Amino acid sequence: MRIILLLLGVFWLQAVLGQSGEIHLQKQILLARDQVMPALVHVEPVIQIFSRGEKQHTLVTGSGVIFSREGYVLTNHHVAANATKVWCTLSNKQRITATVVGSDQSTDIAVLKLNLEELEDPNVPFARLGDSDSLEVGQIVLALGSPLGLSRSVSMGVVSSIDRYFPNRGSMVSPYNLWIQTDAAINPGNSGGPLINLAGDVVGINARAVFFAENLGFAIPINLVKEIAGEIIEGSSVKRAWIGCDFQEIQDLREYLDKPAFEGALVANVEENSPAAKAGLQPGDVLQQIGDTPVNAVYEEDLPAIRKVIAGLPIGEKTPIQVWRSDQKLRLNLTAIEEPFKDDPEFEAAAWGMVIKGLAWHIYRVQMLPDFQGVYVTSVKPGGPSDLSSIRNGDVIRKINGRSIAGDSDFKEVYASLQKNEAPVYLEMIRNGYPYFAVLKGTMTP
Amino acid sequence: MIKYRIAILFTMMLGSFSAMSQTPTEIFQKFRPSICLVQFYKNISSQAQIGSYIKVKQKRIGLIAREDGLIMVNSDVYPISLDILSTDGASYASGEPSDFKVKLHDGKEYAAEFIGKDEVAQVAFLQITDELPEKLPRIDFRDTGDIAVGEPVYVLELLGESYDFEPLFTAYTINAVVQSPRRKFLIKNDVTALSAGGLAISAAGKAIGITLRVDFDFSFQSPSEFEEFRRDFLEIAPSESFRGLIENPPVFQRASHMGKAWFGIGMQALTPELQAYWKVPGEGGVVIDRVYPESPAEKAGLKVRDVILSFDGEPLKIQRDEELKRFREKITGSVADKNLALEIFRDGKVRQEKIKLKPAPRAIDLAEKYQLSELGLEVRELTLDILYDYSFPLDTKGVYIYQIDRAAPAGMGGLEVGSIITEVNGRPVTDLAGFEGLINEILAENGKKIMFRVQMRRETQFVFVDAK
Repeated sequence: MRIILLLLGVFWLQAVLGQSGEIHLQKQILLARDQVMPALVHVEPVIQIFSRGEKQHTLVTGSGVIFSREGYVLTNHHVAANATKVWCTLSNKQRITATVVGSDQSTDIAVLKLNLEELEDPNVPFARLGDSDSLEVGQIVLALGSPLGLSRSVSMGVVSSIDRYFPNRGSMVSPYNLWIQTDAAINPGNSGGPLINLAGDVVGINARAVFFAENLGFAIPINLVKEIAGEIIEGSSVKRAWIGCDFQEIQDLREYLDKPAFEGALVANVEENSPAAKAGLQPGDVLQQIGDTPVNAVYEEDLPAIRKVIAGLPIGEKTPIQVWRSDQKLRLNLTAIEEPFKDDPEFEAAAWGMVIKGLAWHIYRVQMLPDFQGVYVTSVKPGGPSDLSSIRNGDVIRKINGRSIAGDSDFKEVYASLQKNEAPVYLEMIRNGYPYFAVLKGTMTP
Repeated sequence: MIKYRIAILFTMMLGSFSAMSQTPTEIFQKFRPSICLVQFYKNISSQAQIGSYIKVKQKRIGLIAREDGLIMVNSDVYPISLDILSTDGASYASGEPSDFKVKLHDGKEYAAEFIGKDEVAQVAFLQITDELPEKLPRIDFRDTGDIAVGEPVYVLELLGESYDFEPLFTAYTINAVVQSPRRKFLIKNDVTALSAGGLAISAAGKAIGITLRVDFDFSFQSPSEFEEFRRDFLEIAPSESFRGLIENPPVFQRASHMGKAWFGIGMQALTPELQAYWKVPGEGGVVIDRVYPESPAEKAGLKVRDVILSFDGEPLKIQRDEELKRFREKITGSVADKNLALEIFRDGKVRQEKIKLKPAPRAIDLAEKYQLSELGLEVRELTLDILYDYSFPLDTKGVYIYQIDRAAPAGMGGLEVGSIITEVNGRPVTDLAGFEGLINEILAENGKKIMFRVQMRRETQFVFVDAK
């Protein structure tokens, strides 16, 4: 009898405590929600897209979060890039415009600024940015979003992983960071929305969902977001240093060398004439130290951190590096340059029936370019002068009427000047690594 | 006198009547014994084990070209690039075909072997190797210069397996005669035969050509080009395009294969706009975009941006890229090792030059190979087609990865088809024999991992493969 009573007592205690735990969690969720929800913004940018050789406009939607008194909003690059106009709907249902302060493709981060003067009361609620380094696998997080004009959504999950790495290819490129993986639902509509912890701190910006997979969402860690957003607000564009070499993890190399404690990053590809080549780096070297920072990439998840250190090197200044080469330690001097590939918007040369863009890394590789000069064709208008002159996507324009085209600003200038005098347009291009020539057939009125 | 004239007239009528008198049935019966069924095995490389092949039985229409058992078939029986000019190519997954057999109309079967092929004419030749009891009824092909649109034409082919390869005889009309890039007859086609390589016969009962496989062009970009792409017709190659080959069949020798005549340039058409801008005389030509190292073009001193105005005394009136095929076929149809005249436009002047074409070097498909089943890897010596494609200097040292077994160490470690191995365990690979020696030495050393340095176009990478 006593035993039975005792058991009953234990059950009762458990039930009460369990319930109070649930109530407690529910309370925490609501509290966290209330801290961030007012700062949630529905973002509707009118963006330019270039399709089949022509400029078009389209409206996209996403989410964002206000993070400062001045009305700065965080969202994704893939939401706000190439926006001509951005509409934002605040939680109090007011619809105002915003300007794109800047955006960074490599990290998929964009910063908007709300035009607060359009509001009667310019005091807007804003969310607190937390610390993503303190996140733990299994920790409860909420993904907030604003999939439609006035609606707001919250979904809950846990941090599934804090170090998800994607190889630097395909559409999910993120050379400089690892991702927070969560099973909280992330949909296209809450792209750019915040991922928060139960304290109501923003710990990530929701970026990607994997379609046809269940409960796989990815967010950009907020610490990286803070860093990039700071640069964007200060200078409007993120400048990165570039040295022109690729690294591989050393997990297998350790085994091959039979040195289990060996440290460094294996130098794979070294681009010709790049700062890395000029410093004397060779494929097969192992980079062990950059300046005072030790380098170690045992697993591929360690690579983004090294790329980030390199991206942050002082441009045009010597940095001493330490390299292991066939059991010898070498000291070399590396002088990084500014990354030559800019993610500038495409440009439509309507009279020529083509859309061009400044050089990208993959074009430089595929077209085996000797330097960073030129622009590449992203699309041609069917039946237009470029199409009739057999110009194809991916062709790199190096010279127009004998004048070298270093980048898209040169192209725009030459294009504008040729519009005036109706001269023939003679293009010297590179296709599949070799020259290709064309004189455009006729011109069209833009 | 009148009687005599009538007699002549009567004889003439009789004569012409007898010429016209072959009924379709008689024509069919006349040619039936000259068409045969060719059987062979296509050997598809097994992904599971390097060096093993999956045999797939294939059947084609064959025509008796010579009494001693020379059989003409479509060149697709041998889908392997013989030289770097080859357009067949892309045979990474296929080994060489084997076990050719020729089944004659009387049901008798004879073993045969592959002699050679001509990709431009799209024909290949087999020789019956078994002893023949009697001479075979060969087909005599006649000139087709007078064949015109609207004439009746018969096509004799074989049906597919479900109809037990019975002969198929169809009466058609020549619907079109096209001249460019090669002369061909087009006929509306609604019956599908076993394969290309059937026989075309004129109304007068003379053999005039063979049926070709129609090449599909999937590169269409606009709806109008799609119309072009949908082709419901049959192409007939006239006798002239292959008769010389029957007299003198191409012979393929593995060890010392001589390719077709090779020029060695990358090119584009001289459009009227480019012509006006560069002030080039004449109408059309070929612009040189690339000069391959060590090619006849390089030896002749040709340069990028030169315009070829005429070749072997004939002006090249090429204004559209689609017309370049004409020039390519003219080159491959030329004689190698003979000086041919070239007219070149360079720096505002027309110059007379000479070029001596060479036989095209052999392609990777025929290169020497080394198979390492322990690692699941097949490598081949580097051939010019690969070096040209990757823009590598001709003295590049290394071996080419031709095949990988995904589930073996090489595949699991991340080696990929198309890469060039330049170093193993930090030691340079010289050539195929060097690789063989090196890798066997390394395997004998009992290390845990093997480090390969590989190069794919401009990208260098290290791949670690488990040695066990």
